[in-house]
Amino acid sequence: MTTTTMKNQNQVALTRRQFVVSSALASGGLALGFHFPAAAQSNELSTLGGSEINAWVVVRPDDSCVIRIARAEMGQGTHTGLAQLVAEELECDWAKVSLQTFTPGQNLARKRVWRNMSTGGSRGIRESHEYVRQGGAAARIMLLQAAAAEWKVPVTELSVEKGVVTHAASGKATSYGKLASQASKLPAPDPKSIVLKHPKDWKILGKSPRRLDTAPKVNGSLKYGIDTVLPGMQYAAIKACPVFGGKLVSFDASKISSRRGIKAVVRVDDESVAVLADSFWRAKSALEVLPITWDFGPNGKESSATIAERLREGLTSTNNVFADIDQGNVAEAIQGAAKKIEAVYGTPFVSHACMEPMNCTARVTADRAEVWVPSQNAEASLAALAAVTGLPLEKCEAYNPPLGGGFGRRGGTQDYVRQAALIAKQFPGTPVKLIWTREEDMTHDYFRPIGQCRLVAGIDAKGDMVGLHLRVSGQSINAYVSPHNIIDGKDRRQLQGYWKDPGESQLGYTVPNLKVEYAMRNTHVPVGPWRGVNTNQNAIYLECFIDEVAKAAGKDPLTFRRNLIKNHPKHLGVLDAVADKGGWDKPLAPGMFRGIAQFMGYGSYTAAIAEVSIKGNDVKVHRVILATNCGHAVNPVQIASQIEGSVAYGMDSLQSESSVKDGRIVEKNFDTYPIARMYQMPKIESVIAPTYDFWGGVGEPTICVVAPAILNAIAAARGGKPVRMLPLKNEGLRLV
Amino acid sequence: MNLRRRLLWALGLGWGWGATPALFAQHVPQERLLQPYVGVNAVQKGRVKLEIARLADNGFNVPLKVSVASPMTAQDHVRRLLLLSNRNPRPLMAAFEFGPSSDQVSIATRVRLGGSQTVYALAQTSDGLWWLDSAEVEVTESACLDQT
Amino acid sequence: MMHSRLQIIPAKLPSHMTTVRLLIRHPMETGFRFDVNGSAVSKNVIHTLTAHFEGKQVFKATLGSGISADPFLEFQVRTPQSGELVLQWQDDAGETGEARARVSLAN
Repeated sequence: MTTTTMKNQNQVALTRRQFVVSSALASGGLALGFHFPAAAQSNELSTLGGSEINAWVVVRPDDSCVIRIARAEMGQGTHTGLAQLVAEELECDWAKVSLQTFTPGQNLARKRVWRNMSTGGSRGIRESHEYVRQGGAAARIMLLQAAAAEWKVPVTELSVEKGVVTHAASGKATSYGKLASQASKLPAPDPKSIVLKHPKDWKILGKSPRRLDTAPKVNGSLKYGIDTVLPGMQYAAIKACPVFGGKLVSFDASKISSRRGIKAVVRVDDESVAVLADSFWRAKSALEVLPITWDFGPNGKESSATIAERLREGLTSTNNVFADIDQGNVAEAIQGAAKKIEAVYGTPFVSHACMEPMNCTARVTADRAEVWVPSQNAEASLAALAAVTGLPLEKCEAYNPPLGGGFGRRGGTQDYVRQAALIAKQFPGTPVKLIWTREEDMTHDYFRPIGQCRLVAGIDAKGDMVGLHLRVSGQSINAYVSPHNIIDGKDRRQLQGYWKDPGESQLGYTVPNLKVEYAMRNTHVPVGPWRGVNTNQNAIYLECFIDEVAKAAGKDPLTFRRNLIKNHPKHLGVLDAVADKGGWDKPLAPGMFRGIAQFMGYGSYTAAIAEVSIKGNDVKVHRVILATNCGHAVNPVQIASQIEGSVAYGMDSLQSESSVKDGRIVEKNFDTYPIARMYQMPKIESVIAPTYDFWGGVGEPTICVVAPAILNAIAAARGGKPVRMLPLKNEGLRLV
Repeated sequence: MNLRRRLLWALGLGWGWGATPALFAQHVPQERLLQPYVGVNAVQKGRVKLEIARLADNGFNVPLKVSVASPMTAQDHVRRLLLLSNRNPRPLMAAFEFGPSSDQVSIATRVRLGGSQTVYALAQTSDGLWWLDSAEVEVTESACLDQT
Repeated sequence: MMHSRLQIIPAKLPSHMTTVRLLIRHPMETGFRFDVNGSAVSKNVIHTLTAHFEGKQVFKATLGSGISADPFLEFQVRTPQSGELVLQWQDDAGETGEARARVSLAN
């Protein structure tokens, strides 16, 4: 179903080697397990019978090494990657590695020695790789120093491989397990003295050891947050006001309180009511028939139509709009162009739709508060818990089980933690497990922001684009969550992927006259980061429009892009890699059409080709080829897995929308909010083409090119007629 | 490996990370933050005690407590106390003035923090000297947003 | 009319230290928020607060958008004898607020 190739596309850096996904380490997976604190007895993190060399590494007498992992595992494989980073520098035996996670309380108690526990923004590896590698290197140095001291030889005469230390001159050998206790007493080396390995010397990094959690996920034995069970636990079902910004006025508990198993009906805050029962079914069923009076407020009049009207106004308004790029004279260039192309694109609100709905189990007493919650940032869960209970951080704890999907929903927004704690506060000592129904989850998301985009281009007689005017009119995430982060009223974040500056999310095209603008137009609907955030809609707007311009210029979409992209070698690199792998120059079977797209996000460069066929209104995506340059490839199979997942998530957003009527979200479940299904999934081929001169993200970059590549293929199949207003059903199309 | 690549390598993280300017507010270095208030005068750590939680949820409502050790006599008292942020759009969060009628200096309030940052409590005593305490606060909601 | 809650914990002799706790209902509008049309909502914060004891100023606070909505303030004043404590404040829109309490020293 999937093939992956690694490609070294940079002729300067290393030798021209093809890195092929190796199964050499596949059998030596993380055999020894996963130590996960379900309930810490104290703030002391166990050393599991070994010696803690430093915060990152514990070595046990049997030579096994326990590596501490700070970030959350939500299916992206960061745990394995982080362990590889440490193990590479540690020079231990990978077959003897196991992982240990810790709680935010334990991190705080040690003055945040493990630093950031947040998992998002595709930063799990790229933000921490240096200091975790240094942690592994420092532990190795201390272990070698212990051997040198024991044998009374210079440490420079020692060598180590797979945890075995040898002194060639004397023939002496020992292993980490025997050195651990002594090493743990030594001072840590000066970080400035540590030299990290060059990728050409990597033995563990760049390979793909098998993940530990695949089997338990497939056989159902993995325990997610929603599986938490505690003695004496009660279940809570909750309803927040369906209209955002509205208030809970009253409810009539008498109508349901005599139902079997119902323990209580409580006001949670000024907008929600919850039913507590001895089973979730009973709580949820009772809540469904509870009479509730809401005050919807003025937002009750909002709808997709009122929102669309506001966005449309922003497309041509002179109010509240700023230009992030304004070079040359776009108006003149387009005015004087041989041909002018204009389009308006639109993308809807999209929901995270995590397979595991929002949930949190809380237990609160007068002097202690704990939550068991699947979270992308255990420290955020802890902070939310402390804020809501009024207890100091030291009296609180958050336990973070594996997540059934995060995608940005479970990071900065900890609303379910606050709710569970507020309920549990009313029943001191009783563990309360709050679960959102699918309906509650789907209608109370922090949605991907809605937007429209007006693009105008001018091409000259030769078919070259001489001017491009792009304006996004849409909702701002920063304005909703953290408006003070918007500097000078210019929310650059909404123009992700269109930035001139290199490094994070740079526009890959050079246009002599270019204007890129953003008009902020907000709504009452909560918005937040959705995997890929603004690169998703921005890639659709630009990459689909570029195809329209290419068509008007009579040029092949790849050729047209190559001409625009020639000043950006890394953007060009992935474009070429995907064209090569996808066989762009080879003819397709009759009835098959292809589309191409490229974009940059989260420090990585990506491109995709999609091959589709259309029968009537049914669109079948047969094959998607993706290329990514993420700088360094820690675990190629994991990168390929992330790419595959991003194809599924990208396809979700083609076919669904969260629309608004009477101030509330309409789509409540997967019958009206379709997501990618197994039978819809195409054959996926990935090319990983690292250039080893930067560290880019992996979790998010490839998602943004999936939708535009498919949309461009659909347009090609329709003789060039583009799909401009998503989702597909607006054009009467559907994925099959 | 050529020299340029070796240099890029030595930089560790490489140039690819964090190169976007002004996407969100950067932290102001301490000296530049305090200079408008202290001028060229020295600032000493001591006498001021700033208490604020290490982690804050969304930064909208962060409790803090500041106290300054002082006999608060006419000859020796705290003139004023400033609360500063090295990240907020307006660095000065609050300024308090005291006189000998203040019994001791102990303030509690709730501040807005626009993201993970260092909070400073800067006090000037009647002899004109400046005293400082600071604390780092991780605003966890913004930790996710900072990640573009 | 700005609603507020004032709590006084009077000094217990021989100490003359009285604790003052004030909570004011006020949005402390930062000026950084945006409305649906992308326009910034005007700044309006309580900028000055004073405390007078028996007619003499004993405390002054200059506040800004860095202080949370519904501002809370706790501070100490010296009250050598019983008397009246008056707190007054004003916001950017020119609205004023006041809270008064009688401080009675106990033995």
